[in-house]
Amino acid sequence: MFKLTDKEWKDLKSQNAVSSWGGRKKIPNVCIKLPDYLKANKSIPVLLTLFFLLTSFSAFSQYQKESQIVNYEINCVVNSNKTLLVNITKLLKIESSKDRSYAIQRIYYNEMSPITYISASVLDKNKKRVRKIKKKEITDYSTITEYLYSDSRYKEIRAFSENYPYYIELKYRKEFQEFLSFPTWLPQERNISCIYSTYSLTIPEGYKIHYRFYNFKPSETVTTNKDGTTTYVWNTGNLFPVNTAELFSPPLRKVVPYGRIIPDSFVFDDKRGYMNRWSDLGNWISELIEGLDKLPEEEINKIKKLTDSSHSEKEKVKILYKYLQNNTRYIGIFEGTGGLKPYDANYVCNSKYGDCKALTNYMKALLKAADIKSFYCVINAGDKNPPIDTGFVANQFNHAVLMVLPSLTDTIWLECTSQEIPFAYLGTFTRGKYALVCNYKNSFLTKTPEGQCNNTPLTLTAFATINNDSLLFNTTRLIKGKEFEYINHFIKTKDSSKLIKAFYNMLPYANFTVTEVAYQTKPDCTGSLIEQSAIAVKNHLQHFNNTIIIKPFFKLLPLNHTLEANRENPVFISKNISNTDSITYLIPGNYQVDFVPKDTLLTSPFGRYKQSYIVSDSTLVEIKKFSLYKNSYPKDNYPDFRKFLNEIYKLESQNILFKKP
Amino acid sequence: MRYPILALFCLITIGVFAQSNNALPEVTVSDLKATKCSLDSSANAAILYNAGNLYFWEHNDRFEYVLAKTTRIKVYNKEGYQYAKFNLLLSYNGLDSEKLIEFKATSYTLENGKIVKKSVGKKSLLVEDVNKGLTNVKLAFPNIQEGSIVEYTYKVTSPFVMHLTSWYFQYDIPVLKSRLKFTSCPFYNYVYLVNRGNLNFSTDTSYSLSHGFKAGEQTFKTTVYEWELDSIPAFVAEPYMTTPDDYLLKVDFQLQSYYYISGEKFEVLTTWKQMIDELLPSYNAFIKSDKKEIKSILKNINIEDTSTIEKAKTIWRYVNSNFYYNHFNGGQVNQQIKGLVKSKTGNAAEINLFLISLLREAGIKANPLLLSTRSHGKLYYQYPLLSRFNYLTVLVHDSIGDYYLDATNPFLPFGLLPQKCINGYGLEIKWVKKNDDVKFYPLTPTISDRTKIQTFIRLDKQSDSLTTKLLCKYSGYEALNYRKMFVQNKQEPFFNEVIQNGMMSLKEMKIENLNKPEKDLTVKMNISQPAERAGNKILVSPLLYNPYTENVLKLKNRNYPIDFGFLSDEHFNVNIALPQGYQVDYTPPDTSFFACDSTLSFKLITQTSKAYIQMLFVIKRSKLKYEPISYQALKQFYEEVVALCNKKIIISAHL
Repeated sequence: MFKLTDKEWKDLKSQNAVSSWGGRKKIPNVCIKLPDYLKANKSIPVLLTLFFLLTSFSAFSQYQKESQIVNYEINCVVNSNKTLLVNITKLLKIESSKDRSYAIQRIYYNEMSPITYISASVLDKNKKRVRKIKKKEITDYSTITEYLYSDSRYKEIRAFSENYPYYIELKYRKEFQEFLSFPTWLPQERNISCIYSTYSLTIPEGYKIHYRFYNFKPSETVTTNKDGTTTYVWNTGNLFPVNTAELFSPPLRKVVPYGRIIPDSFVFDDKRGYMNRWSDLGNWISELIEGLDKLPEEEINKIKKLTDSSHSEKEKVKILYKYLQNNTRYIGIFEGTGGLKPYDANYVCNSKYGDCKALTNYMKALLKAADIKSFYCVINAGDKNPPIDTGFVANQFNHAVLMVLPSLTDTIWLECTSQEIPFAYLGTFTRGKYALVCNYKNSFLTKTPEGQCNNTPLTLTAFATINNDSLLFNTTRLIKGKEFEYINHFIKTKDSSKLIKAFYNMLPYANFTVTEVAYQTKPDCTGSLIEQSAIAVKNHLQHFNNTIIIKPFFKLLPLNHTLEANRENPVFISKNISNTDSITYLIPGNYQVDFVPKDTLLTSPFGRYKQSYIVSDSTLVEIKKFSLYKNSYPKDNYPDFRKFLNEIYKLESQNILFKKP
Repeated sequence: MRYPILALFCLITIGVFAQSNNALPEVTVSDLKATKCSLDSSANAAILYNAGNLYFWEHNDRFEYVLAKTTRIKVYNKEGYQYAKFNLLLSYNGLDSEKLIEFKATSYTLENGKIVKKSVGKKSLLVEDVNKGLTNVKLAFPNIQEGSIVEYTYKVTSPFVMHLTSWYFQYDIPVLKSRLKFTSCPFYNYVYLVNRGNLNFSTDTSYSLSHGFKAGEQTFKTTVYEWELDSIPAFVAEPYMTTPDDYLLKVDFQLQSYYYISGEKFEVLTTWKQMIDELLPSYNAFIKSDKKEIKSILKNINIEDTSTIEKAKTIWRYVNSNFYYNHFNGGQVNQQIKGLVKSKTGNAAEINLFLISLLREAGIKANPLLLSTRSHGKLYYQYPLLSRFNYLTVLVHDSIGDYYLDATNPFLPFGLLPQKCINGYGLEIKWVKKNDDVKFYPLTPTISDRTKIQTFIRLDKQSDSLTTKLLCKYSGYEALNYRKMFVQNKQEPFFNEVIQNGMMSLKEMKIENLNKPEKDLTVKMNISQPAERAGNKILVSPLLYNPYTENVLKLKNRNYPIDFGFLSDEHFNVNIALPQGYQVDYTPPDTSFFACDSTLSFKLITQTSKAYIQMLFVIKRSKLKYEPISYQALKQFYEEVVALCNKKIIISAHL
């Protein structure tokens, strides 16, 4: 209807937001949800710290500058038996009572990473210990999730004091028997200042590691100890909160400092893996899932029967995908190695449900039964987790998809967690993202294709009639991307009342009612819909002295906001936006057009805007075209960018007058 | 709605053990073929049968209650898949726990015209320890498709006979048939509260079984109660309501008294007076638990030579800003003053009792006031049930009058209860003379949410923009919410929320009295925006701050009371300077109207002079709660308010 929706506007603003208007359960890729990402991989130690990282990401909007992490030490030791011991010490300064929420500290853990020691104290402003937090004051909770099962838990410490400022000293230890990665280093957790942080890692002789730091450059010292072990020490400090609440600022994941440290080789689930090349990791995953694609004889016969009559391999894939969609549902279960290793195909065959890994593996098994080759792939999906670093081999993935090769020239990507999306449709969550195709030694990293209709501009056509104080619209528009996924879900689940609600949710306007809405597929463009609706907007017109004032209803920039006087961030436009609105007003009998805004064209390096009007005897046609170009600009360009948007807003807000002569 | 009360008395005779049997009719092909719920065609899933059998048995040398339940759910479409799950919370404490002793889950799916039945048992259940006191038992049904039917049968035993499980007739999906059979126990007497709404029971009987209960070698006479309710619509929560639990159709049980085998009787449900008598010792013990500490605190905060109310203010402020409310409610204390002072953290009862202790030491009359919060539900005055309360706050008797105090939220102004407490009446906990009555106090906000906004609008011809000066004053709960936001440095959302029209830039924003909750929160803003033009006309929205951009009451009809939980009193003063050479084309006419016995009022007065347009909007609501019957009037009122608040002033240049 409008192209840059209120939601998109906000998405653009935060850049890292996962569409939330879908309702948490409604987005096709169920793995899209943040916790799933964590849970789906949760048995890997690194992800526990990533949990930190991610919760911090989402909590970053409320940043503040006074309270600070004074000292944050992470000390990792790999013992000669290759187990990992992590000691963490944190000294936090609580400046005033309004920062009391920082006095609540949570430490996440699960069965694979038990906390073996924990201690917390309240120190006064001279850092003298006032009180030690008692064992019974530390509470233990399950991270209550919408998943069917998860063994992820946290310990909560509440360290309050009445005399500000004061300090909290937190010490704890975790032990890992098996791990794919060392804890992620995130010095500025919860977006507060970090005065000093150090990360040290001691490894036995002959043990190799890889590491990379993002958005910061810590200092480094490497010492060889007498016993042959090697100690790496990295230091950083004076890191200050990032304000990404500004509109069109880069996502936090692209600016916040974090470090990844991984072992060169590891043993997990009794299998040795390496992290030298992507093919090493892919090979390890291939071995991890080996043999999990066995189906019962009965099921194999069923599959053969289903596909026997079709001659094209692609047709068979289609049939089996439909079979998967009709018979299974997504349910998250995370425990033990289930975090990384899928439940086997037999399990899914019986229960008819599974998580992204289990369903992908099951689909692979179905195809195998029909003698079609496919590859299990792990993928760095969504835009909330840290972006993939293709030059750094590590488990940077949070979701699973399937790559099918029905013929030498054809590649099909299948998302196996959704019962609704079209065949071979990759959602906004997984398109254009890096996936590791697991094929033993021949594993490789590849980018998934962009959507088929990615570059189709969005269009809205509307016919408006006047009825007393109300404006009635008959509209037709194209929807795709997240909007398509959102709406398509309710179409496919046949929930008409939720469909109407979804429609309301998508319009960033008040005081309107929908009288009719219908959707049609667009055959030449998978993953898009044509929406037709009838809308009545109450109290929208104002009559006086034989004149009707019509204020614009559909807007390309529906939201207004403050001008940021002291802009901190560069301008970051995350994607190309291209919209066209054309609205035809029927001029009521015995009225004529009294005023229409001038035709205008605005051009700028950021984008383009054009509006024009065509008046005839009985109609007035308004055409608006708006594009923004994907790019990023230094902070100095911000005033110009704002001026461009303001100008569009002003042009768009102009009223039209009809008058009785 | 009536809530019949019935005490269940039992006589001791010889008899046989009560049977549990929830047999349902077989699932048929046509059941599986059904695509729509007969009761509600829009339902994604429905409960076809919900049958419960609640009884007692002797177990581990005591009496426990048993709930045997069978539920059959039909899934109509994929959106209904979420109901093909089983989820049960079991309680435990240090000594006892509820136990799931039998469990069976079955899914029925139609495959090639044949019913495929898949069953799983207790072994398939996933068990998760939620936190202290609760275990979550879960299961996802296997083999689910559109049209599938799932059924689970379980048996839970519980030693927690004080809180017999409630039987819900109503859920968020339609229920076609729900029945409960309750076989009483000769040793426990319960009262039950039934909410059947406007529906009539298809079965509502009781009969006695002469051998209904077995204890040791003996059997006793029991009474059996049966309720059955059919065609129960899905519960849909509405905005502005207290907890759904106040409205859901169900039966609640409350233990009234119990007998020891020796024949000795203990009263649980007695009188308010007796309840107070039982509570007082523990509260007094807490209040007096550390006189030394209390004295030393009072000495430190120095309240000598001030009036009673000033003393109360200082003490309250001290507690409120230095003690952290851990968001646990309840009327119980889990630590004494010593522990609280050390950890600086406590539940509402501990913090508020601590406040009472300090107030009393300073010579101020203060008593605990027990209440039930909005999310906890309503109080039944006829039943003196301790479990109906979940919050303890403070009532102060002063020569200038009584007032409430609460030290759990540093943003609260003096004398105002947290909004969650605005729920009916609170009971004062103090010793009551033999012939006196206990006292209930109405829980109303002592102040309305008063909002005063002065707007000065001026046209700057040179830049063709409107400059607006806003002076906003807030009190009550609205001020509290904004304070919370500002303290977290979230000014922008405020700005977005407050101002919703036009492309504006905020030139200046000043917040006053942020940390003085007793005073009005003041926000001063200077805003500039491009003038809205149409030809030679300029359109001015008088309410740059406009809380009425749309009607918040959107539902066509309303089933439940509209319970706002705050009172509102809004004054918007608008002053528009007319630029030279401009004339006024349109201003909205003066209007005044009332609704709902004048508890709602709207007034708009406009005055135009050569240089100024002055407008005054006054919008008031002086009632907290409206019954559904008033809904249309209420909705219509706000409809008109929205229309009038969105009319624009039109001015044009002289020709």
